[in-house]
Amino acid sequence: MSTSNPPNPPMWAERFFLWYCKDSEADMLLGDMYEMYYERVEEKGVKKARWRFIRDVFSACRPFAWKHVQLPSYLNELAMFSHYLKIGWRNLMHHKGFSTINILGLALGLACCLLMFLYVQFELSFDGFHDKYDRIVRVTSVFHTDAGDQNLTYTPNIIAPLLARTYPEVEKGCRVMPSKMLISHNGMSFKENHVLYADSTFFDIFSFKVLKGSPSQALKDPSSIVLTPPLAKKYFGVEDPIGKFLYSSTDSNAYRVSAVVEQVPRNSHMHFEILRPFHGEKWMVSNEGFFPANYQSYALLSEAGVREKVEGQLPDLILKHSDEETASFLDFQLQPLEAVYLRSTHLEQEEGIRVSDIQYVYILGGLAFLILLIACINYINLTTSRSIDRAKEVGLRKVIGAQRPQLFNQFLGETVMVAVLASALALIIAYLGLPYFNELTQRELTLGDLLRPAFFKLFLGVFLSASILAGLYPALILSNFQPIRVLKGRFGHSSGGTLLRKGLVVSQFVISTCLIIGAIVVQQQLHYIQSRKLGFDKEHTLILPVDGKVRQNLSTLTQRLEQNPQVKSASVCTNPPHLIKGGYDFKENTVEEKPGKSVTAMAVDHNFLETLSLKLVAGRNFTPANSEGPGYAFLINEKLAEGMGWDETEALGKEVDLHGREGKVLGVINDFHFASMEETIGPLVLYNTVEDWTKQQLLVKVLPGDVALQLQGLRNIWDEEVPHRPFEYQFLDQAFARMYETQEKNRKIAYTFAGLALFIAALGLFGLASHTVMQRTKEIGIRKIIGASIPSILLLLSKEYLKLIGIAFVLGIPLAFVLSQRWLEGFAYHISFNWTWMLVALSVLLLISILSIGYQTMRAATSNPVEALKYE
Amino acid sequence: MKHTQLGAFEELVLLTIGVLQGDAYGVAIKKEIAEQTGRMPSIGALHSALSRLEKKGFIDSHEGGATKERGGRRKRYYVMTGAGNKALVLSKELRNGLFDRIPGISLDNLSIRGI
Repeated sequence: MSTSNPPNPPMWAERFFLWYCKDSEADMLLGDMYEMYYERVEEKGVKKARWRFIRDVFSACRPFAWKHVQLPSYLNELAMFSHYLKIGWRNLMHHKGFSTINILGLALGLACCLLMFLYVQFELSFDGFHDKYDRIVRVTSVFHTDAGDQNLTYTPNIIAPLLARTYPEVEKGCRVMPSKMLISHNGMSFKENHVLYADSTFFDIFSFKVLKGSPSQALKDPSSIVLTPPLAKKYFGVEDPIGKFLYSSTDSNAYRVSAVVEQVPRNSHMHFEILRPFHGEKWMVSNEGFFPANYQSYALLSEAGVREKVEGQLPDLILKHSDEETASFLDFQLQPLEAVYLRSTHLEQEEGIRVSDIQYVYILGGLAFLILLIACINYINLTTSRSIDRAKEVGLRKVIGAQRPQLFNQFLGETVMVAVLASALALIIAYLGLPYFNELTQRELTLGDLLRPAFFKLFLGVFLSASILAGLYPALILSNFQPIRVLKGRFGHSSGGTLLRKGLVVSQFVISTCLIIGAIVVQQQLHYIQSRKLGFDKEHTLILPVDGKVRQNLSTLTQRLEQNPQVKSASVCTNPPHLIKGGYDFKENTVEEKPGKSVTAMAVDHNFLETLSLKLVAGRNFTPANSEGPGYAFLINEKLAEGMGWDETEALGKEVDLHGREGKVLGVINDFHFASMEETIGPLVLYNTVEDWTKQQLLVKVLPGDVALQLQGLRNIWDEEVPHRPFEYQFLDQAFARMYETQEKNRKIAYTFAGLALFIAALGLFGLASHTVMQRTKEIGIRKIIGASIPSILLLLSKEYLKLIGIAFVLGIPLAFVLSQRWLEGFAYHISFNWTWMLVALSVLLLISILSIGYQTMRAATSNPVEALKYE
Repeated sequence: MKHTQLGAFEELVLLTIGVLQGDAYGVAIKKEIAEQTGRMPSIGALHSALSRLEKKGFIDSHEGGATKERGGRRKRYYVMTGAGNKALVLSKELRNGLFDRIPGISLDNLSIRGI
């Protein structure tokens, strides 16, 4: 034996060995390995010995040596499955009350998620049915003005064909324009509101299925027309519509049905029932130029990646085909199809196009998640607080030999059981709540959408995560009980546990507070907007649309209408007052070139001001003499006068140029809202109805009275004067109300979610309170015997919870305040945060809490102490 | 009569333990097998087999002397049990029986016949 000290075997190998090896074998095995190591050092040298040692370490890494083999207990789990099921079910049944609360709460949360998923999935699927989805882009216009950039979906008729013939990367271009038609068929007149004019390349780009006829030929002939099956049925019954004719009521054109296309799927941003070829209307294609911009344009790229490249070349293209001035303020962008539905809120769009906001996807998603969170919190709270009841069971099981992981799995499994039941209930709730939800979000969702595999997987994922999240903590707590302490009866709540539970209750109510205040804010803001002075009178006013044929008879029609005793006044104009959209250039006609402004403008006749009760701040109105010319005359609003640097009297008589129309300013009218309340009032010009096409609407102001009778009278006059067109009207105040549909929707959503959150939180509180009361039955009994009064007992029991509510309230208010302010600032005109709402929120909270805990505490307080102490 | 399965390697280890007579511990068994068969079993394989034999009740173990070469760690000695003894005998009988029933097999007669 050499007397020198040989080096030790590799330390890391030894450490690794000790890590995996079980204690009972480690010592002996390591001894063997050391013995061999030193022998080998003698025989073969240190290097080989070390290498061999490492090999030995790995060789010994086999099942017999491993610490804590899991396999046996895994197999045991499987065998215990039916037992756990039985016990879990019994547990649920024995405490039906708590089980119901748990299941109901989770079910509500899951149902919310379900519905929300339906919505999100639908929204994100828009336009996905087009085969060439990723290659389709929409062309948008950008107007650079002194007030900033204006983004519009309106494009001129030149851009789509120009793109197609200039760039090889653009395979096809297509223009569309939504419109309406009057069809006369078999002696009856029909108004078709969903007509789309489209280039013949329409079917090359979009994947709308052509059921009869040829896609490539369908829109070639200028007098052809394409129908959807319901319309084909409406006009031609069961006969084949191909080759048959439909006639226009407004002119004497005949259209030949060239094809039948399937009904537009629900998730399409474009909607139409009739297609007509774009070049079918000569005036739309005759002058190819950059103005006017009245159409929507789309393009098909050779591949998705070239979009930016083509977009970058557009400024040069514009310059080449127009002049420097145009190129300086006009630009085009290519918007990918996937962004059209959800990310177009910055664009001014045509009315016929469906659009939504990606924000809703985020908001609804966030809200549903919040609700689910509250429900999970409930579950955790309730289950952990009831853990005491199961303590004996846990203690006994451990004595018999259950391992902690086993117990953990058992209790987690019980949560999963509850979650499964909750899911079943959630499906039912979702089914029942679907109509309301559809109304709330204005969609037509069906539960069938649920069955799509991607969606289903997602929901399963959420379900599992929610169950595990909710079940984790209770399972941990329960499996942790020490048998000795439990069986001796000397255990209590850990202080950490109660703190967590209190924290959870507080957060639930903070969320609820925010939602309540949010609901109040939305409600008040909406009320404010809707009752705010518009600057004109919108009551009792009808809007009647006017077309070319009507114009021929317009003066007689207006005369007769005004003669009707029920009619106060009638006026002709281009747009209804809430939809004045025409964008025009406005500048003063002076010797020096002053820069112009962008204004909104439309044509009106001399009765306009009276019909809407608008006031002249200075100057005078149009008269019947100059209402239709010759020569232009202008009325401007105060805002424009201010913007031009004129005071009211200065403005009168100024020579101005409105987009090529020259004339004098006759008068200044008061500012009024001609767009949504979300924006400030802009500059406005009203000019006289010199041009025939500007006469598009008839505004009729009636006296307050029997509406039905008035309508009848008006209808009679209409039918006599313009029989080709069915009498169709809209009430101005209703049209206005529809502008705020979005806000109405917001309001309803806020209320619904606030209510839900509160309900679930209350449910949780109820469960907790019941449990506490149960725990303290003996204590209450004794107190009553000593002489405590009922109110004092009530106070005692509720004190703790009321304190928590108070904290939640205090925390929730600042949060709610910040969030509301941010939302309100999105409106040009908004209310300020009113602190009395806090009181409302507080009272709601208190009321709910008292209701939740009231029943149980009352019962406890009035119970007979004898009952409580009988078993002592 | 039922007998527990004895794998080939396990049988070898068991036989070696019998041979070593009270001196049978890890390293010694390993060396003896290497000497007898010409192949050195890995320490993992060997102790795996020892563990199995112990579980089947064919061997017993007891802790023994520690030495400096083992870093002060004790050896574990293995001895055959009665059951182990029985298992070996049964196995030998089975093999011998079958062997004898092969016609014409012997060390002298190594010609290949009709295969």
